[in-house]
Amino acid sequence: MSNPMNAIQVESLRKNFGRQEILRGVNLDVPAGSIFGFLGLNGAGKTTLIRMLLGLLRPDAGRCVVDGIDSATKALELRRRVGYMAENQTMYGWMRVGQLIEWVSRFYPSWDSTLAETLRQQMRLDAAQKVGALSKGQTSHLALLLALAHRPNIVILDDPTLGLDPIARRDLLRDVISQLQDRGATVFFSSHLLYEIEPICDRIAILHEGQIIKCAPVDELRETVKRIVLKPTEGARVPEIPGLLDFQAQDGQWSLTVEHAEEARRALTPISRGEVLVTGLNLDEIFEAHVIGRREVSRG
Amino acid sequence: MADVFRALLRKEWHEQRWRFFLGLIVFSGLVAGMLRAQLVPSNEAAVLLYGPVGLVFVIFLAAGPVAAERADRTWEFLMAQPVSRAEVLRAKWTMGVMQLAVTMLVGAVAGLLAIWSRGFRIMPKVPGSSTEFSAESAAWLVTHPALSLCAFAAVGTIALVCWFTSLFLLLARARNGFAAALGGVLLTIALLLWLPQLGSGNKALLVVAALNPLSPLFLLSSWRAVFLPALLLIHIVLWVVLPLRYVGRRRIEKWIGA
Repeated sequence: MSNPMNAIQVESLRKNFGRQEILRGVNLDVPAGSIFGFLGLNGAGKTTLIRMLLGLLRPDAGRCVVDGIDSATKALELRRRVGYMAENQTMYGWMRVGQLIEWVSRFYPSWDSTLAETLRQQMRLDAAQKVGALSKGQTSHLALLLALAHRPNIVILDDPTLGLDPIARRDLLRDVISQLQDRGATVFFSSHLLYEIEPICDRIAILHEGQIIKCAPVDELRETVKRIVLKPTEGARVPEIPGLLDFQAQDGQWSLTVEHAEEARRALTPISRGEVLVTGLNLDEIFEAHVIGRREVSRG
Repeated sequence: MADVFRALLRKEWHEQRWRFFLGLIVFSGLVAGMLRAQLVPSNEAAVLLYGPVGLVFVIFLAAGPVAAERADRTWEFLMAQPVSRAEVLRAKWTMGVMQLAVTMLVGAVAGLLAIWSRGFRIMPKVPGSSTEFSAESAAWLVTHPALSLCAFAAVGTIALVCWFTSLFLLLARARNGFAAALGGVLLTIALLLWLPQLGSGNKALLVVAALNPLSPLFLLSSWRAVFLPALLLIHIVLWVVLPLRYVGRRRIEKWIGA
């Protein structure tokens, strides 16, 4: 049963390409109205999952329900209601901007021509310019316009800033925020650049090796995931620490990234020669600890 | 829905019109040129034009539409819109058939003009014959070159549409234009080479007639022309109606791929 409070619900989703397992039983709930960051390394399977959300790929097992619609059975109805911007979206270069907007509008019964025109002017896109002659930044803006002009309840952005220079990236993100902030739409924002997601998202999920390894509100992650630095006493062993994400020992100093900081601090205080230093982490560091953290500790 | 289909057709026209105009000029030029110069008798010229030359044109039209979009990566953008793959394929097929039919029509008109410019004397005199034409070539195809050309154009167009439909769907899987064109050439050659291997008995001939996209053209110039309507009907069902009917089904979707 799908939960009406969730804009997107993914249940036990599996997908193989040949012998390669891309998604291995993914479960994911995206609450309605949230800005949801979907993180993963390049090749983690983010785009595959998004393509299944839109009904562009069939899952081998499991299902996706988006806006109450099963993506495998009613893909067209779903795509009419969802705004989608693909990574490196390639559009018809021979069309003019105005022509492309008009052409795409034919596919969406809820298309708002006034909104499209307002967005075009805000994004400073020349209606008479050929799409092929647009810069990468302008192309991304146009793709964003096309994803928003039919006033979707859910917007799926697949690495929208991929290949953009820092200024174009900031410009696009500013537009994403300003257009979606007050509308109450659910935004599913996939990216591998965490610093760009951090200020926008209120919840994130990390996809790694075909599975969701973490799904939590950003504030909760910042609150609970910390780095603990200490100098251990002579001959001390690393105690059992639940939620250990990363361990590094260098020059007689331990650095541990843990999920339950308070618990870990209590366990480590007795074996510390001095003060146990607890520092907060940014999303980038939290992601890194989850994905490439070294959890094996020699306790001998 | 009609609005969506019209929008798709409009895009196809913009993308494929250069093929159309190129094909139109080459084909009409060949028809008019061959008939005007009397390189070959009119019925053989027609078989040649609506047979091998037509097949080359069919490959040219069928190979491009999907493969080019995949190569340009616009296919992903198109598929992300709320349009079904079947609808996109039908729009591309419709545009291809319209271009094929118009080219054949204009080619026929060019041929008629060429025949008219020679005062309707296309068939050269047979040396040593008492009559103007040999007994065999006194068939209506030769005595009435204009009518013959119209008949070949009509039957040839249907035959080429049949092969175009199947080839178009088979080549929709190709990832780039070159692979699609090569696939089109190989499939066409394979079909034409394989069919004669089926044997020469009555049953084998019937199978060959049903499977060979060009068989209506050969039938037109023989006494068996009375079977032509039935054969055309079989061809239309086998090569056009059935493939298009199954285009939205999962098996064909799977074949065409993402």
